[in-house]
Amino acid sequence: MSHPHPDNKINVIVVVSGADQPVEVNPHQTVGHLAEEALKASGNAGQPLENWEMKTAEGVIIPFESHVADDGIGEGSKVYLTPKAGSGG
Amino acid sequence: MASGPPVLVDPEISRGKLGREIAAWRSNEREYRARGWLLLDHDDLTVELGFLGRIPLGNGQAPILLPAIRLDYENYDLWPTSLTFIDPFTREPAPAPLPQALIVGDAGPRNILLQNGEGKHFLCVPGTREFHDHPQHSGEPWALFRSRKMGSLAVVAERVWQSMTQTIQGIALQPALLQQIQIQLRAQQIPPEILQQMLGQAQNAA
Repeated sequence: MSHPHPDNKINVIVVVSGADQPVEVNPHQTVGHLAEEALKASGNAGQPLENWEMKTAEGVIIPFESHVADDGIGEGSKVYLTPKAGSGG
Repeated sequence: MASGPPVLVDPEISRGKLGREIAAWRSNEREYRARGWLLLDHDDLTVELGFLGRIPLGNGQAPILLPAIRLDYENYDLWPTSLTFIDPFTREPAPAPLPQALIVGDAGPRNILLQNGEGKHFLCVPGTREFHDHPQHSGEPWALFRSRKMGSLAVVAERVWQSMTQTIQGIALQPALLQQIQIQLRAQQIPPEILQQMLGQAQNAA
């Protein structure tokens, strides 16, 4: 079982393109920061956030400019980071 | 003897990569099931997925499996995965069960369901072999997208769910006068992002 950190950071699982990526984040940081940390930890450092989108388990988009705590992301939460569909059709 | 695609990657390597995709899927299977994503079968270098949605029926909602797909992983991931719509009963290749697959971009919703020269329906999005083989996308080779895992099992599932299953808002009855009066059933498709906007506007107007 995981416990909150003494420096108020929380453990979040960011599922990056289908693969679990554990990330520690301060809940007052933005969701964009959480996404950048997840991209860095999963070997995708430097990729522009505009090419990705963060979603809840239900598939609802979480704006990057919102804050982790404001979106109900807490200790042990799981969110989904997926590359945007981009061109096509 | 049936001729398949040329072997460019040792099938053992492709099998290992697909095995990791399946393990990652299993790790999130409970959440995927809640979305209606079902792993129907996994055999050597193929995976079959089904997508459950809900349609209003009477006073309640009825589950509907729409669509079912097969993903082929030959030469993965030198090649991206190939997507084929299948009949969920026979598991044989079948036409796409909806007339369109809608993705919302900066310019609004666009249909990404196309047919190739052989009449096969495919989703024209990066990460599928059919997209990268399409002459209109010769400037967008798979190599540019591979590092972002655009062809991973979960990402392809997300594209199918988002552009097809999530767009089903109901079934409409349409009387059509041909040689005799017929009733046609036609799926009503609206992308979830647009539906959310419409609901918001309706609430503001109320």
